[in-house]
Amino acid sequence: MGKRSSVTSGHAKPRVSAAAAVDTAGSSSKPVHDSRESESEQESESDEEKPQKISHPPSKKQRKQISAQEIQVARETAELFKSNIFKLQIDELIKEVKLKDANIDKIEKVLHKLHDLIRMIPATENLTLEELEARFTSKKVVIPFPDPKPSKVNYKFSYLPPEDVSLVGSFGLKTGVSQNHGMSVDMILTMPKELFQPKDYLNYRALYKRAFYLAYLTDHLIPLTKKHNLPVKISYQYFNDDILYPCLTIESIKTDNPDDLCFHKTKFSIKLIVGLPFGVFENKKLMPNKNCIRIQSDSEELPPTPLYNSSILSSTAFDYYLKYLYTSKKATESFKDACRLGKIWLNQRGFSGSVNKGGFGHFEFAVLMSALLHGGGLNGNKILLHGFSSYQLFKGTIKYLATMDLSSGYLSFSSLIGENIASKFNPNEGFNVPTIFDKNLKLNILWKMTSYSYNLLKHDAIQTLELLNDVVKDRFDPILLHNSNHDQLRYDMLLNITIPDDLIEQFGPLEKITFLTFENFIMNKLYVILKMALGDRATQVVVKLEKFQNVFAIHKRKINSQTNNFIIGLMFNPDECEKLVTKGPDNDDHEEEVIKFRNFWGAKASLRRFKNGTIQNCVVWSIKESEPVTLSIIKYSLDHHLYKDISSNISTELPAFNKKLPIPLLPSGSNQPVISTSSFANLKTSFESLTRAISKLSLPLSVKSMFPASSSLRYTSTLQPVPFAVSNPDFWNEVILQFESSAKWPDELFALEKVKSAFLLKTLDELHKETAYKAFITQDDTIPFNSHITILRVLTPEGFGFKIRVLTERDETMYLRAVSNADKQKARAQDIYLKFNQKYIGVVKHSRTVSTLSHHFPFYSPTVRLFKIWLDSHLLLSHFSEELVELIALKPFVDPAPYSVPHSVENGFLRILEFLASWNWKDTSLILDLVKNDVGGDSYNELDSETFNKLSDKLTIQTQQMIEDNFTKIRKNDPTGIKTQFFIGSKDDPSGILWSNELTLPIASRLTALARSATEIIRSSGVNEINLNLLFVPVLQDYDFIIDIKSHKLSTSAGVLPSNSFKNLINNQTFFPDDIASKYDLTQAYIDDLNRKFGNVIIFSSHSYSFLNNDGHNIITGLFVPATLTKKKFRVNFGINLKPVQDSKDKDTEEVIINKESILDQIRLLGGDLISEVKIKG
Amino acid sequence: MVTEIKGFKVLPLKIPNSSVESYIFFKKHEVKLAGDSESRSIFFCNLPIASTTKVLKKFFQNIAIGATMESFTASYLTDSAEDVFLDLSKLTSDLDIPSEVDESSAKLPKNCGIVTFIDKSAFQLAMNKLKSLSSGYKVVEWPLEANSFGSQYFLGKYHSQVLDVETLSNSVSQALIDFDKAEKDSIEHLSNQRELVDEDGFTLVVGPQRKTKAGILGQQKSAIAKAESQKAQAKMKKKQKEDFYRFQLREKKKEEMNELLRKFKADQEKVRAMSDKKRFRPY
Repeated sequence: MGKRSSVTSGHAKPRVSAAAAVDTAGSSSKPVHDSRESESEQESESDEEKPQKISHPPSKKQRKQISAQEIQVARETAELFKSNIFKLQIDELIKEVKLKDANIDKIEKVLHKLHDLIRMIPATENLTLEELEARFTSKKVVIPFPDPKPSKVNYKFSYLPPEDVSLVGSFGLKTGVSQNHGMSVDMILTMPKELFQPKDYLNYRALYKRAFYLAYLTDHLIPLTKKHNLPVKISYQYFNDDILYPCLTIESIKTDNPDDLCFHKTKFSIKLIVGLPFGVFENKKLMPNKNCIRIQSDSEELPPTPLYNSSILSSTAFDYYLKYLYTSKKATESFKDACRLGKIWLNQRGFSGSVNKGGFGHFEFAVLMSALLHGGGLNGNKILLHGFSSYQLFKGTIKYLATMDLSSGYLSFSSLIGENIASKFNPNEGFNVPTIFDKNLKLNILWKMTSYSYNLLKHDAIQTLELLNDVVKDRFDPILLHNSNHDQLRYDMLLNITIPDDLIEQFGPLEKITFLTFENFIMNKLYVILKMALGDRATQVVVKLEKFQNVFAIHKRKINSQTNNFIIGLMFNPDECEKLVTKGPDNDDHEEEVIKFRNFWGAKASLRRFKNGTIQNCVVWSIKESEPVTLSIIKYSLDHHLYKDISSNISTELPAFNKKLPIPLLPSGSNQPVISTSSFANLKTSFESLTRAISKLSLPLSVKSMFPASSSLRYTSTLQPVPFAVSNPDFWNEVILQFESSAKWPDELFALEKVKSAFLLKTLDELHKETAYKAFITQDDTIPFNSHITILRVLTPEGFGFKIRVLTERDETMYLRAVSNADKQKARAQDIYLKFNQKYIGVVKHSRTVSTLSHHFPFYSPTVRLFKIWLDSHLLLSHFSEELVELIALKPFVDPAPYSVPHSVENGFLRILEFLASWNWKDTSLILDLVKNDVGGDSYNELDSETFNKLSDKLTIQTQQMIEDNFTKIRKNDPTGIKTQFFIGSKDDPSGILWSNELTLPIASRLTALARSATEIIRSSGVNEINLNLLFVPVLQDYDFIIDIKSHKLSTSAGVLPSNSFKNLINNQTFFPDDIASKYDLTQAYIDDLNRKFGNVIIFSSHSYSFLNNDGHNIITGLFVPATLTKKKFRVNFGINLKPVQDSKDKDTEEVIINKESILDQIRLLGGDLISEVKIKG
Repeated sequence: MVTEIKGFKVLPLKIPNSSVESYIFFKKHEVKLAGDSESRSIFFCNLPIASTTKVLKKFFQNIAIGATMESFTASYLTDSAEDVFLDLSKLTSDLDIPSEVDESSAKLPKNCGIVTFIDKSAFQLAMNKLKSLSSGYKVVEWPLEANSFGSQYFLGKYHSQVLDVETLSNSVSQALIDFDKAEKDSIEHLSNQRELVDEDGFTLVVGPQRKTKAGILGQQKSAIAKAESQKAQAKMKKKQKEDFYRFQLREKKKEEMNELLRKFKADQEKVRAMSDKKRFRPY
C-alpha cells in the first residue's frame, strides 16, 4: 500500500508533491506528480477517501516527520520517471485537444438561435396517417418511417413543442475533444409526454410518432433557418447508425452575406435528436429479454428484441444520463480529463458509440467509469476512487475492461443519483453478450456492442494495460497518440466477402425483429460460423461492413440498401493457425458433441487414430499453393454453412504475399506451410554432425565450441537452405570455432592469424584422414588490412557448406591495441575493430538471440525473408548487413505496440514498412528488448506477468537508460546523422551501432523514402496483387547509369524453383559440381571489384539474388557521389580518375575534374563479356 | 591543351574499346634518402585500372625501347576500398618482424605508382619520351588486353581465393619462425633493459600492453555488473552508520528531494521539447 507523502525541498519555490496514490489493486503504485494544481494531493486508504489540501508550506515539524518509508516512495517516484513524464504528457495532450473557446462561443450562438427557431414551430394535433401522407407528398420532406412502413393505424400523430431542449453528449458534459474530421454537438428535443400512450413501445408505434415529429420539425425548420440568417444544410442521419433512430444533422453553408451566421470554420455540425420523455413506458417491459415486436409466427414464443427495446429505452434517457454523468464529474475532479483520455484512446482504435464502430464510445466509457466509482468489484468494492488522478481513472477503467469478462459475467450498477447503490460485478452469470446493466433503467449500456467488437475492445484494453504497466519505456505514444485503426496493419488476415442477394431469403420475419437489418444478420452469421470453424486458430474474428452510409437526404424515407461487401478481420494464434488437422471430440465422448462436430464439418469430418492411441474425430486439410490452411477452412465452412460457392466471392491478399517467397527446390517444397522450417532443420542437423566430427579430431588444442553464425542457421536467410545449392549466395554458412584457452597465442596480429592457419591446416588434414568431409582453405578479406586470415571451408555429404573461422581470446586484445596505437587513424582503426566484433563476436550473440526468437515467433522467419527480398528487389540489400535487416524486422515482433504481434507474413511485412516509414532515426533510437514476451495474449494475469517480469531477462530501466545515453552521446556529436543513421540498441549490442556502422546517409534515406512511398500506396489504394507487385519494382531513374548484366540461369543451382516452371520437370541437385566456383554468381565478384576500384566515387547497387527476378536478369546501377563531381585543384591523393579542365582562356589552370567517361569505359572494360548493355542517364 | 599541372606532366592515353581520353600525370620521383646519387624513378598518378608491372613494361617497350624497368611499385590502396593504409602488424606489436609490407607501397595514394628504371640512361630515355609525348599532346595507346577481363577474370578471382595447402603451410611455418625469433630478440632486449640500472638507480618497468574497449563502444558494463559492484560497496558501507547523526539524515533527505526535483525538471524539459515538435497531435 502506498503511503501519502508530502515532501518539499525546503527552500525551493516550486514545490513538488509526490503523490504515491494507491493503484487500483494496490499492487503497484504509480506516483503522479502534479505541479500545476497547487500542492493538493489526494490519497485513499481502503474504501474511504480523504482528500487533503495543503495550502500552506509544510511547517518544520511536518518536514521532520518524513519517514524512511516516505523517502522510499519518493525514490521510487524518481526511478519510475515514466509516470512523471506520463502525467506531463497527458497535460500537454489535453491542452492540444481542447476545444477552442472561439469555436465554442460561435457554436453556442448558433445553438441559441436554433433553440429560438424551434420554439417558433407551431403545434399541430391529431393528424391521421392519411392526412400525413397527403401533407408530406412534396418532394421536399419525407417522413423517415423505419421499416416496415406503417399502413393502417388507429392512432393519431401530433406535434407539440418539445418538453425540453438540451445539450447532451460530450459537448453537453464539456468533455469534448477536437477531432480532425469534425465534431458534432448533440442537441436533444424531448417529445412531450402527452403524445404517447403506455403501449406505444410496441410494434414501432413510438418510433412512427417520433419519425413524424422529426419530419414536421424539419419541414418547419427549413424555412425558418432561411428566414433568420442561419444558412444550413439539413439531412437525415441514423443516430449511432441505429436504423430505427433517424435524427437531423445540421451543417453550416458558407455564404458571403455578413449577416448570416456561418459556422463551417468551426468544423462543428449539430445533431438534432428527438428524444422520448423519460419514464413514459414501463422500463421492465423493455428489458433485453422481452419481445416488443409482435408478429405472426409459427413458433410458440417470439424471440426477444433487445436491439429494438434498447433503442427505445435509451432514447428516453439522454437527459437522465447527462445528469448522472454530471454528478460524477462534480464529485470527481479528474473525471473530465479521464473522459477525454478515454475518448482519444477509443478514437485511436476506431471505436465509437455507433453500431458499426463497435458500439463503445465516449458515453459508454464515461458511464463505466461512473459505475466503477461506485463499486464494480466482486463484492461491490470500489474500483475507482474520487481522489484519483485522470491517469489513474483511465488506467483503472482500462484495467477493468482488460481483466473483467463482461460477457460471461456482467456489471450491474444503478444510475439513480444520490442513492449510492454499489455497482457489482457478477461473474459467471452473464448473458453471453457484453453487458453493463443499469438496474434503475433496466438498460444494457453495451446494447450496441457485438461479441466481436467486445472481444476486440478487450484485446485492445489488455494491450494498453501491458503498456501502462511498462516501467522501462515511455509508452505514451502507442497508448494515446498513435492511430492504430488501420485494418491492414491491425489484422493478420483481411477478407473481403460479397454476399449474393439470394441470401436475403434466409432473412425471415423472426430474424428481422432480432437483428433489425440484413447486414446485422449476415455479420452475426459470419461471426458464428467462422468462430466455430476456426476455433483456437483465431484469437479475434471481427466482421464489419465495407462502408456504411448513415446520412441521407430529407426527401428520402430511408437508405435503401447498404453495401453487400463485408470485411472480415482475423488475428491468429500462431501455434494453432497453420495446423493441418482440426481435432474434434474423442469418438467415445458425448454423442451430442460428436454429432455436432460431424454436422458442422459434413463430408470433411473423419475419424483418425493418433499416435497416443486415441481415436478422434477430425478434419484434415491440405496445403494448396501458398493458400494458408485458415483460408481453406474459411472457404469450406462458408460454402457449407452460408451459401454454396460463396468462396468464389471471398478475396484476400494474404496468399499473394506468401507467393512472393521463393519455393525451395525440395521434394516437398511447394506444399509446406509458410512457417515450416524443415529445410532449416536439415541444415542444422548437418551442422551438428560436423561439430561432433570436428570435436572428435585429435588436434593440438581441443575444440571448445563451434558457434553457428550464418543467417541460414538462424532461420532468416533469404532463401531456404537446399542441399547442393552452391549458387545461393548464402550457401556457405559461417561458423566460429574456438579452441580451449591457451596462453601461447602470439602477441602480434599476423603471427596470430598464422597460428590459426596452422590449426586449420591440421584440422583439414585430420578431416580428410578421418572423415568423408571434403574441405579446403581459402583466403579471407572481410577484415580490412588483415590479409592473413584464412578460413576452412567444409562440404558435407548432406550437401551443405560451412566456412569455419577461428576466434581466440587474444584477437580482441589485438584489435583494441591497434586502436589505441592508431593515433591519427583512430577512427579507421575503430571501424576495423567493429568489423572484427561483428564478424567474430556480435554475430554469435545475434545468431543465438535471433534463432530463439524465430522459434518463439513462427511468422518471423518468413516475414524477414520477404523483407529481405523486398530490399533486394530495390537493390538495397547489399548495402545493409544482414543482421541489421533482421533487427529492423524484429521490431514489430518484440515491440508491436499499439498493434499486436503479427501472425502472418502480410501483416509482418506491412508493419515493418510502416515502422520504417515512420521512424525518425535522426531523433529517436530503436531499442529492442530481444526476449520472448507474451504481450498480446488474450488472458491477462497480473501476478503471472509480475513473476514473469522478475524471472525474465528483459531490459531493465538502467540498461535501457544506458543505451539511450549512448544514443544521446552519438547524436550530440552528429546531430544530423551524417555518420550514424540507424541506432539499434539491444542487450546484445548496447552500443547501438555495431550493425549499422557501415550504413551511409543516402542509403538510409532511400530506405525511409521507399518505405514511405510503399505505405502511401497501401494506405491510398489498399493492397491488391497489382499494388503488391508494384512494391517490388525498383525505381531506376535516380541512378546515373545502369549496367545490364547478361542473364545467367542460376536459380536451379541456387535451390529455387524458377518461376513459370513445373516442379516435376526439374531435378533436385544431388552432388557438388567439380568446380564449385563455376556455379558462383560472377556479378558479385564484378561488383566487389568495382567497389574496390571506384567505390570512393560511385555508389554501386545490384541484386544479390538476381535469379528471383523473372528471367535471372541482373543490373548494376551507379550513382556518382556528388562531392566528387566538382572541379578541384590538382593533388595526387584524390584517388579519383581525373582530367585537366580544358580552359582555352587560362592555360595555366591547376584545376582538374572527374573523368566520368573514362571511368565508365574502364568499368565496361572490366565487365567484358558479363555486360550486355550500359545505359547512361541524360 | 593542358600539358602540365602543378609540376606534373599530363599524358593523354587511350584504353582499349574507349573513345575518350584518360590522363596520367607524371613527374620525376625525387627520393631524398636514396642510396643513389640521383633518382631513376618516375612517379605516376591517375593510372588506369589493372596497371601491373607487366602492363607498364609493355607500355615502355611500346614508347621507348631500351628504357628497361627495374621495378614497379603500386599503391596498396589502388585495389582497395580504403583510403589510408594501416599496418596492423605495426599497430599490434613493436617486435621487429620481417614484414611483407612495402613502406613505399603503403604510402602511395590510390591509383599512383612508381616506376624505377634499371639505370640512369634508361630513366632518361623514358622520361624524355614521355615528356615529348606530353608536350606534343600525343594520345598513347595503353597496352591493356581487352579480353583479359570479364567472366574468366572474375572466375579466376574466385579460384585464387583457394589456397594451396603446401604453399600455405610453408608460409605459415616461415612466418612463425620469424616471429619466434623476433620475440626472442625482443625479450632478450627487454631483460637487458630490466637489469640496467640507470644513473638515478631506477630500473625500467615493463608491463603488458592491454587495452580496454569502453572508449569505442560506449558504456558496456551491464546492469548486473553494476549491481554487483554496488552490492559490494553497500556491504562495505553497512559497517559505517550513515543515519547516526541528525545532519546525516537531513543531508540525505535533502539530496533525495533535490534529485527528485531535478528529475522532474528534466522531464518537464523533455515534454516541452516534445511539444515543440508538435508531437501531441493525436490525429
